[in-house]
This record gives sequence, C-alpha cells and structure tokens, in this order.
Amino acid sequence: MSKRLFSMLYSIIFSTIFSIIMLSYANADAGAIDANERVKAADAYRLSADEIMVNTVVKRYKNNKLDRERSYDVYVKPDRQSLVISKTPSEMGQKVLMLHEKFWLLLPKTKRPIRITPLQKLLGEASVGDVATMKWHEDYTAEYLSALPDSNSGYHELRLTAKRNGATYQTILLSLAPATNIPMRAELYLASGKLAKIAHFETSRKNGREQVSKMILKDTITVNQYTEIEYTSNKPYSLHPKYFNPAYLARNPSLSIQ
Amino acid sequence: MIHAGIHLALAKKPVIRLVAWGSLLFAAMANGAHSISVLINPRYHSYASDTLFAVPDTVISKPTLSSQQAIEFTGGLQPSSATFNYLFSAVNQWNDENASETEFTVNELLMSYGGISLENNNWENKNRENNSWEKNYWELTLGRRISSWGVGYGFRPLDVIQQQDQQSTSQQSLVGKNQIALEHISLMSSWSLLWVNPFENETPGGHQRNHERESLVVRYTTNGENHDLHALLRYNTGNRLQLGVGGVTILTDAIAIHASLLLSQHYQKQVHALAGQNRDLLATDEPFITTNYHNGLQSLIGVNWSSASNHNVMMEYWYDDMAYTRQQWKALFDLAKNQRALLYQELNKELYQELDQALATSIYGNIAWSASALGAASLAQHNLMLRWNYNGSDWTPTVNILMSVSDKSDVTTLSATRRYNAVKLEAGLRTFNGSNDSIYGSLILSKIVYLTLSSEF
Repeated sequence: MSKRLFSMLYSIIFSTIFSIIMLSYANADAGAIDANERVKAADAYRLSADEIMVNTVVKRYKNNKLDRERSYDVYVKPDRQSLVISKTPSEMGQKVLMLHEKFWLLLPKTKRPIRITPLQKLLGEASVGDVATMKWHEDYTAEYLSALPDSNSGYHELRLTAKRNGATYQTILLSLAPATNIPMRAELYLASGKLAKIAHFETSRKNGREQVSKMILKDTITVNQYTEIEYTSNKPYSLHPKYFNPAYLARNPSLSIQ
Repeated sequence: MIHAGIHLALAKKPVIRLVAWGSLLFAAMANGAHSISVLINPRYHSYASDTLFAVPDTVISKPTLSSQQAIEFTGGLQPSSATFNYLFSAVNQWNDENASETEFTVNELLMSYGGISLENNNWENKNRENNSWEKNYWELTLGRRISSWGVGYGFRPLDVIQQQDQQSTSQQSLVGKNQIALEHISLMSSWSLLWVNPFENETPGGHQRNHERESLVVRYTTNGENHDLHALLRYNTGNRLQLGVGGVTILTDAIAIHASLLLSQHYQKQVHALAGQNRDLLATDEPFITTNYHNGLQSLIGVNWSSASNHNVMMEYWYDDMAYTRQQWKALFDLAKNQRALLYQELNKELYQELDQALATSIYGNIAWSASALGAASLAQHNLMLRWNYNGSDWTPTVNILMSVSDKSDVTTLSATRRYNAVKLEAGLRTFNGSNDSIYGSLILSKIVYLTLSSEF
C-alpha cells in the first residue's frame, strides 16, 4: 500500500514539475513574440497608416522658455523610407531623404543630392531619426526586461536593439502602458552605450483614436534644455515613389509635394 | 512658347519686361506651389596697394562698400502629366563707386512631361499601384534648367554644364542652361540624354567658356547600399569628347570619401600673348589668346568626417589641368613686374617733368589686363581645401582654407551662421594670403567682410 502511495506521490510531483517547466517555456515563447508585437502595437499610436504625411513642429526650450521652433512635413512609406521637408523660413525647402540606412541631403539652392553619413543627418537640435523614425518594429528587435504583472514600474519594460548599423539609437529602453501599449517613456542610447536622450510621450484623441501627439526629448548633457517634437496633424498619404529617388528629388526642390 | 517667354522677360524695354514678369508670376501663382526667397548681402572690401597688379581706381574700380539684394520666385504647377517649374530672380547690385544696377533673370523655366510608357507604342501614364513606373518612368524636359552635378565641395569636375563658383559668398541661385533632356528614372538609378545650349554658335575668335558651349551629354547615376556613382560622356566642339566618373562611399557612420575624374580630349586656356618674353611689354589690343591643349585631366579626392558631438571636418585635394601651370603664372608675374618696372623707369626719368599720362594709362591698362587672368574659374592646378564646422545649438562656426599647393598662398574664410525662425544670418571674414608672386597673394583684393541675411516664404 505504501509502495503504491509513494508511486502516486512521485507521479504527482513529477507531473507538477514537468508542467511548470513546460508552462515556463510556453510563457517564454509567448513573451518573445509578444515583445515585438507589443512594439508594433505601440507604433500604431505614432503612425496610423503605413503611408502617411505628418506635420511636425520641433520646439526647443531653454530654461523652460521657447527658444526656437522649426516645422517639417514628414512623408513616411513602408520599408523604412522617409522624406523630411523643412517648412521653416530660414531653411525652407531643405530636404533629408532616408531610405533604410541611406541618407541624402538636398539644399534649396543646389540641384544635386548630397549623400551624407548617419552622423551628418542632423536637423538642428533634433536628429532626422528623432523626427522621421516612427516605426520601431521595422528597425529594432524587442525583448522583455520585465512584463506586467511582474514589472515594478507598472509598465511593460522592453529593450529594443537596432537590427542594423546606422540607426540613430543603437538601443532603446521602452516603457509601454499596460493593456493599451501606448509608449510612455524611452531611454535612447548611442552605439557607444552612452545615454543620449530620454523621451516622454503625450497622447491625445485625434480622428477618433488615441495617438501620440508629442514626444519630449531631454538631452542628458544639457540639463536646462529640452526639445518637443509635436505631431500637429497627420493624414494617410501615398507619395509617388519617384520622390524617394534622390536623382528625381533634386530636380524640383522648391515644388511642394503633390 | 518658353523660348518666347524668356525673351520677353529679358527684353530691353522696361515696360515689356514688367508685363512679361507680371504675366509669368500671375500665371504661376494662380495655381501650383511657389515660394519667395529674399537675400541681402552687404560687403566691405579692403585692397592691397603693393601687389603686382595694383592699379589706380580709375583703371580698376575698387569699391569699399557693396551690397547685393536678391529676390527669387520659385515654384511650379502640374496641370496634367506635364510639370512646369520656374525660378525668376531680380538682383540689385550697389557699390559706393558705381550706380546701382538691377537685373532680372530667368534662372529656370522648364516644362517636363513624365510617366510615359513606350511599351506597345502606347503613350499613357503607368498605373503606379503595380509599381511599373519603376521600370518605365521617362521624362522629357525642355527649357532652361539648373543642372548641377558631381560630388565634392570645393571643386566638382563633373559639373560640366553649370560650373558653380564654390568660393562665392553669395547664395544666389545659378542661371540654368537651355536644354532638351530625355531621362529614364528607375528605383535607384537614372539615365539622362541632354542637348545643352542648343543652337548656341561659337563666336569666331571669342572666348566661349566650356559650359556655354552647345553640347550633347549622356549621364548615368546610381545609388547603392553604401555608395553613389556618377558617370558622364559629353561632346562639344571645344573639348570634343569628355569622359567623367565620380562617386561617394560611406565607410562608417562618421566617415565618407568622395572622388571624381574628368578626362577631356581637348581643352583651352586664355594665355597672355606677351608672357614669357621681355621684349614687348605693352599690348595695344586684348592680349589673351585662346590656346589649345590635349588630354586634359581634372580630378578630385576628398574625405568627410563627422562626430556625434556635431563637429564636421572635410579635406579635399584636386588637380585641374585647365588652370595655369606654375610656369605660366611665373611668366605672367614676370610680365607684370616688367610692366611695373617700365612705369617706375618712366617716373624716374629726369627728362620728363611730368609722367606722360598716355604712357602711364597704357602701362596701367596692360597691368589690369594681366590681372584679368585672376578672374579665371580655376586658378591653381594643385589645390588643397580644409574645412571645419561645428553644428552648435545656436551658432554654426566654420573655417575654410583653400590653398594653392605650389606657392602656398591661400584664401581663408572664417564665418558663423545663425538660424532664427524666419531668417538665416551669416557673418564672415575672408582674407587672401601669400607672397606678391603667388596666386592669391597677387590679388588686388586683400580682405572681404560680409553679412548674408536670407529667408524664404
């Protein structure tokens, strides 16, 4: 009798341990898939369509006072294609074309595209990556640092690692709101491992849905200064592929996109 | 129609110009996208009195203060498959020596017709949904267009049509070249066949510049993963065949290198007929003669480095066969020395109480003629350029040094740029340095202080 009892006991213990192990694997698989899916869901709050035009205003604040303001029209297409056109009078017509990790600068008075390195792709206080990169899931691989309900912060905490060289930030530590996956906060790290900026996100209701309306960037070096990138409006817009060819774009830099 | 429009806009009678300009602007602004840019460029000039080519103000005007004001209208409209682009400018030049002048220019006025499919002889726009445009996008362009090509900052050998002056402190738009162009654009490459300056006849005995000649050009560009490549083949009566290649390669996130090369079957220089001898020192007519050479080479190599802390450094070296050789410069400098010695010799002659004014005028005039060689597009054969700038949060300071390697003379420019919301301000100082018998040291101009205010709406 005792022999049968111990046999049953060992079976129960073994089954329990086996189930716990299998469940943990199952959860781990689901977590890995979920991390990238969560990032894709978060991207939807920044980009409501695959092809979109976003009116963007970049404001720099010094000592909490508005110091400078610049406006851009940003055209985004799938497969990491972005065209940023400056609308600020002091740099009207200046364009930066991003195709994957390739960048071209087009100055208003010149009629030729200038191929530039990733580090040259600056637009003043915000880099082109800050303004034009709105799809983390295309550029980064995500993994959990901690997920709810275990996360102490109350958010899903993810680490995003750039899939390729040339990304503005090599690593991003991203905090997403529970249930909705709305991006709340991001720590942006350079390839050297240095923390470059900390971003906070604000949302508002537009076109019947919740969308990221503002990204506030705080530079880790200059403490009394921060930059706001405000997405004032957006609309689905399929820009003709010819405008994403540097040779064509150089022909009519002053012509508003139609 | 475009040709007629350009003629009307450039007509001599102000009334006709005003009507033509008004009509063009109204037609453009009534529909389509357009913008206006404004530029003000005041300058202070300082001159050297002890250079080889120094002459009185009556021979070469030397204004101390000058200013250039420009307003440009640019834009386009796309009523159908055709696109019309324009760029007009009105430029006012003022200085304290001469009366103010205003010039109206049609920088660009062109019509482009694109999206043509040649499959099955069927001329229709392709359906972009199936991306077939990527294989079949053709564009026909005719009119006046700015065509600035090639890679590089200080010098661009492949810029065979436009020839932008990289050392100019003015930020005006170039004046385009009349052309008929057929172009094929695919995803990451383009082919172009151009007839530039059509029907432009070479003036017999004239000094037509290379980029003013009628020419046929075939051009190819491609954009790869880490590189851009350009190639061209050009034919004109002055150079015969020209073959050019160039490109940019992105080595790392911070470093890019660029290079280009242009071979010309023939090329020309304006050489002073009296240089290289000391028997005849004074010419009575225009002394420069067009001299032909064979197998010309223009080449450029450069590297650009950027840092995450917003510093940018560029270094370029270029060689230009179309500039004077060191021997040619020496011959011209020796001629100027001999002409100046003749002047002093006349001044010291005891037989004359006063200098013979006619003789003095002739000598100074000849020195001024010799000085005109310094107005060539390319001055030195061997050139080195170093450029640094820092993209600060407020100011962008820049240092640019262009050196003639053979005689160590240089042009140094210190400038700073600041962008406010509506206005871009640049302030700069340019100095020309070197010994009296060096290229940049022999210039009459020794210093320029300039401001540039620009904005666009």
